[in-house]
Amino acid sequence: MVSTGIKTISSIEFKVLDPERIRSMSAVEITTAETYDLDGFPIEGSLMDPRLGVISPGLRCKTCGQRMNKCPGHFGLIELVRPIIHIKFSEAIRDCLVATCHKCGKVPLAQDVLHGFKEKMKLANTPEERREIGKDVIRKSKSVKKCSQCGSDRELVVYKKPGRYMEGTKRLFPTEIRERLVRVASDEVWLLGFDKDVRPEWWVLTVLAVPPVTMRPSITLETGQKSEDDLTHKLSDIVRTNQRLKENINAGAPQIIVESMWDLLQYHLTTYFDNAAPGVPPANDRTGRPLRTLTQRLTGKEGRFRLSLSGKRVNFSARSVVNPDPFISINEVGVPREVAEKLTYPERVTEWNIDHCRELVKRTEYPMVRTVISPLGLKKKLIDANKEEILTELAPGWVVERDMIEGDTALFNRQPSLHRMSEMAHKVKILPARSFRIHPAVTKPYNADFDGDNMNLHFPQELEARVEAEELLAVEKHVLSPRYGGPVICAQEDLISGIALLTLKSTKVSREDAMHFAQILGQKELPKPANDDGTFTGKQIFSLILPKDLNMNFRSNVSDTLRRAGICTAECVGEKCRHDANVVIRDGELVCGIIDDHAVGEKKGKLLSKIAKTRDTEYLKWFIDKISEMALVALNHIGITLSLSEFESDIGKRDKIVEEGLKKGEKVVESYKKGTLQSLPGLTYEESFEREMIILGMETKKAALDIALEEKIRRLAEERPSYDALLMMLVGARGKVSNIENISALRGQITLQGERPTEGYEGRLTPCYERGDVGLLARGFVPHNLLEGVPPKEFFFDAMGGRIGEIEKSSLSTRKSGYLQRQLVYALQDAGAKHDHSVRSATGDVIQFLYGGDGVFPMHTTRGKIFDLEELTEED
Amino acid sequence: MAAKSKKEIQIPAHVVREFERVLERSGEKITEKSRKEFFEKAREIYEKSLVTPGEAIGTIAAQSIGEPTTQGALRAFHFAGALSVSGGLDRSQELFTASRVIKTPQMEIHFQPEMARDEKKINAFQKKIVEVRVSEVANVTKHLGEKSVTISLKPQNDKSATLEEIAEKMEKTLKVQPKVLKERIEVSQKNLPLKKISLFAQKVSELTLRGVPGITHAVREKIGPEYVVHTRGSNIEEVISMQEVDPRRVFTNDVRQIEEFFGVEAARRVFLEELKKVYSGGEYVDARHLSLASDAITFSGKLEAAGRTGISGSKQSVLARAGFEETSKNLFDAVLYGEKETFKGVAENIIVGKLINLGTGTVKVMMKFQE
Repeated sequence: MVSTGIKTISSIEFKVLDPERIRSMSAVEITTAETYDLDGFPIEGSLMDPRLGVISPGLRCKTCGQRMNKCPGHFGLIELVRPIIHIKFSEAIRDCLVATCHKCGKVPLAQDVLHGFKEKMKLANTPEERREIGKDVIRKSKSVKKCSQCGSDRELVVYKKPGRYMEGTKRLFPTEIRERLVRVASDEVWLLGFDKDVRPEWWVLTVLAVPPVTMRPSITLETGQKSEDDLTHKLSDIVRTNQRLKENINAGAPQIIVESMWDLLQYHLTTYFDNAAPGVPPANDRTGRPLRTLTQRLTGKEGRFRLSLSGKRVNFSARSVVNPDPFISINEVGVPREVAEKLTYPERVTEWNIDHCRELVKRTEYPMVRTVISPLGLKKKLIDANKEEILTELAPGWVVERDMIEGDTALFNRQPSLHRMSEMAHKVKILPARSFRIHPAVTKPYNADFDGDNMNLHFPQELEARVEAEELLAVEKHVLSPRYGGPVICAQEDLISGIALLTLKSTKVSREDAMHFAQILGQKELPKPANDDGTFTGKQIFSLILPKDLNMNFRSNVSDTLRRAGICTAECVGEKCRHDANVVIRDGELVCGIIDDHAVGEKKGKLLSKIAKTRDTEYLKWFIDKISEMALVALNHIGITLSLSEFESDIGKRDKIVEEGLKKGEKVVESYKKGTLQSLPGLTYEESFEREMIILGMETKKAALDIALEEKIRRLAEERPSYDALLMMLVGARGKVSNIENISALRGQITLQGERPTEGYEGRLTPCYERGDVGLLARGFVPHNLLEGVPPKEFFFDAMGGRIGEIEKSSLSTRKSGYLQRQLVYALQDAGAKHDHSVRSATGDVIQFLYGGDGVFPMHTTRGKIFDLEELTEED
Repeated sequence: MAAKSKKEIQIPAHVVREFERVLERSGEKITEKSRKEFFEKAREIYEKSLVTPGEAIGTIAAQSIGEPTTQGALRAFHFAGALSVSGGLDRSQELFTASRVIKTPQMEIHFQPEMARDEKKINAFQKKIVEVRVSEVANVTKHLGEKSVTISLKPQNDKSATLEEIAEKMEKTLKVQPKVLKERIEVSQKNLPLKKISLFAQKVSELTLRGVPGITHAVREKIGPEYVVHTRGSNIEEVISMQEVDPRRVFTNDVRQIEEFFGVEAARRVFLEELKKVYSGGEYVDARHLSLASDAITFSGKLEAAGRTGISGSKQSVLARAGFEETSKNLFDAVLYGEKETFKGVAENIIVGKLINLGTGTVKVMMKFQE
């Protein structure tokens, strides 16, 4: 960072303010509870005293003479007539009283025990260690009945509630407590583990520091009425009560009156510090809303710490809806003109760019300069009137704030920011309309879709920030995920369908279309057409994009699916597979295989992984851009569609299977009721029955699926599968077998958290079955499929499952996992890799001597492996 | 980059072994020369894939572990034998909060060779370890008027428990003198106040009659030629000392128990294994992240939670603690005990607007202006 002469904090010590310090730093003593006089001017000596700082523009501070925003505000004080216990120190006060003698102020333990503790304390290095030892001392002293130092009898002091301490039956008033604390020497304080530089009597307040008005500004409502901050309200309560207490004492009021007034003052001070203290009724304002006092200002998600310190508001940002645009590059972001006109970049004028800057200043429309900053740091708005003057003055050392232009680097972010790919650097591309545009391949890392998602754009201002963004946060540098070492920026859904269609064996590409593809790729020459009719194969066209020295051999998603269906066997290796399921790339030529999810999809994406590892990021970016473009063109030319008829299946056969299943179910129920059912090991009789029924439901569904798919599967293995819905599933673009199951075969057993639904009416789930019916149908088995439609009572079961899922997802898991994420990040965020590849915490403690056992960063691996076998053998 | 440093990075032994394996698998003829070439190449790849110094791998690990849980794609259950074991988000949370009570405690028990293949003996063992409580075999009724409790056997008593057995157990653990009658046991508790009679009755019905306390189910599974028993409920201390059991092959998923019985180092291993079970399959997370998390949670010498009671609550920095949870408590403790903020970690530097000490903040640039 450039040294700017700005001071940085190197350390902070936390102490208690000495009353003398409060007196010396305060600008005014507050004595009146009224704030404004009849004319609306602040009263001297009130909480709005002008010496406490300025909060209205135009005025000067009576203490420092500065204007608003420059004057930091000044503290005042209230002299409390009687000492008051500081609520946050109540327990420390109790501990201190419990662990010291009320007469001599010493820790009442025997000399030898004391000595041991002292030695221990001397060895302690950190406040935490001292605190632990101190706790031991306090625990030990608690039960001492007679002070070993002066011989006086002791009685245990008990803390009842804020301001109320009892010693036996006698109440200890703060005055007495303070006197006792005064007697405790600093050495004893140290022995109790507390900060020895702080006098314990300071824990009891005799004088209260009044925060400056800048900390509690009053707001003027539309009606002209002034509304005061919660803190001011509370402080005025304190002043008022303090005054009344004083008057009462001076007038010689009875003890009981004075005491109750004293307790009231204690209450006001307690709620002033913490309006949610246990055992204290919260103070409300006139409307009954609890006041937001000091502690409330700091704590919680909306408190100073988490709202304003750990996370800060920024300028130079924009937010809008995102839309997809597959024709921009993955590292670009489409930005509307409206945004580009608002966000500016401070271009430093140097002798090399001064002409360019002059040109910018001269301009009167869009890429123009809005403000200029002189070398002295004066900001000037650029208007017609001063344009000429500024143009003559402009010299190296000035800064011109110009509009965001195409090619600028901006950070793009979608919340929740769950991993580092949630915010990446994109190149700005100015586009019409008012939404941001992103390439569909980058939706995965952002977890974005286009159903109304909003995203944020940040425009880095410093050159250093900009360079860091370009070098470290650029989209193309995050193609591989550090989570699993596979691509996260990848083809998805339609892009996979498209590229798979193109590489299908049956695909023929005419010369015109081939030219189109070549043009996309910037290729000047086409290969020799492979087909006799002068057309190209899709594989030939796809090969155009592959680097000429690429050699690969892997199984596609098609192969995996077909193997699972038993169509491909273990003998289907490499080119031998009849169904063209294995991908073989030789010298940059796609010899066989369909390019699908396994090649360009998420996580596995072998082709993408390989490119990402062996080429530079610029090439990788180009590769993903072009793959997407080719996929879209292929989709346009070849087309993909689906119809309901694709999902039709032989209902008759299905019904037979369902019937068999139901019969089996009846038998199980029968033997269950007779008590002859075999218990499964480790389960009770009822559990065994339920398990049996669920398994039966699943088996029936499986059998029905086989029937439904039997014929379809055969079609799948054709050169050009005639079922596009299945094709999409086959190549891993969208959909799973389970979807086909539900649509074409049957919905099957509905389960709630792994069990059949049982609760509902007495002895039955729904009133359309008899009581005590525990058969398949009565407990959530749906024998129909979604294509033919589901009858009402079965539909109800289906909805039960859906409802549970929805509740789990929306209300429970998001909250839980969000908190887990926060806990984890907070716990681990200080751990960093050092130059010796060890992992160390903030304090330098070693967490791991060699990161992950081998020092290898997962992002540089292939699914955790340091290298692929292919990767090595190929280059030898 | 400057000239390559001469000092070679030492490759860990297990990585070298992996090189060897890859070389063997390549199926090519290995000559001395090709071997040397291969290792040079491998070293190059290895060095290229090392972590960049300064990389905020703690955050990356945390995000990698946390992110998939939000996707909701983690399996909520998996099976050990026939028993379902919780997984997914709930399990992950359980592990990172270092819960004392876990949802599905589970053990895997292997046996001494002489009985590992004997189904009958295994069956007997299963029966032996499953905890049977009095309430399962008998009805416990309290008589407030007479200040007594009677216990009678349930008619369907497949555990073949006897009244004598119950009485004996009561004598031993509850220190009472039960009277065994023909069909019931009577315990008179004249000295107890009326309030405590109910409590006593409850104690009786919760009494462990036989088996290992805590173990509710036991299922056997044949793995290879040998039998393995999976249990629901975990009690490593009792099980490991049983004669039939092979003490070197007893596993539990209760990390706390492991820590108490074997110490942190073992707890770290088990923690890691348990994490791996959650993050395998569909939502795969690299083992290095999981290992870092396991080390972070145990490196202080004891098993710590990730939250305010553990790592985040015991950080040295006052501001980092205050920024997480319990803001006011942390600030006032800092005041009382005289703590000092030194801005070494990430959170506290962000709070005051300083550069953090990771990533590009690790290094500082110094320039010589004279030349």
